[in-house]
Amino acid sequence: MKASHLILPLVSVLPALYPASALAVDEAEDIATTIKLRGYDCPGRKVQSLTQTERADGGKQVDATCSNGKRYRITVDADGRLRVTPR
Amino acid sequence: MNRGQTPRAWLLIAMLLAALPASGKNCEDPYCTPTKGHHPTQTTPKVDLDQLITRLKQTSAIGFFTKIALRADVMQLQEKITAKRAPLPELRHQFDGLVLKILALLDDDPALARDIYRAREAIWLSLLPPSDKLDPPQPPRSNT
Repeated sequence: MKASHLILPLVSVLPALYPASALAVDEAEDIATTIKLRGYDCPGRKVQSLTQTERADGGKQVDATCSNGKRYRITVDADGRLRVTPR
Repeated sequence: MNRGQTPRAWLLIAMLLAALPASGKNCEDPYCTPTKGHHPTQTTPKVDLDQLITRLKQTSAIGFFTKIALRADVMQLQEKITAKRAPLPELRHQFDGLVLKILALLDDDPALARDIYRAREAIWLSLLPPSDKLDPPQPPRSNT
């Protein structure tokens, strides 16, 4: 019996036995999901471009452009409150 | 038997094995339908909510900003429940929607999605104020 005859079924069974570990999402995907969670229109899995800046109060600010050209500002203040604002 | 068919047969067996948990009694898939006669309250496992929260915080399947947005949604729902701003069934409906959102986002961390789905009743109870926990809504009684 060829080795490939044993390996093929093993390879096909492995995913069922060991569920895939969590795959990290990148920032563009994270921002697109956040915009959608807040009910705004942002087609596709990822935003096209984003610029992240640190705010003086210790929070974060991200300016993102979706694939349909719509732009949003996502801010997280020092208390961890998140806001999505269309621009 | 044709030698060329052997790997295909193995592949078929492997695919069947992979599909078995979804149709058997050990329901590993978070969305699988339990077998007949199963009642959720009969087999509700003991849930470590703190551990689930830690896993949710640590999972890389959900990004930083999405986690913050979800946390805000949970806090908003908890506030509504505490202030009794809506009837309990309506709040439960919102809770179910929120759980679905989280499960959808955890597509890349199926183990955590499964555990959250299984723990949803315990999570819901943890959000309820003590008075509602002691007096849960009773199912309608038949007069026969």
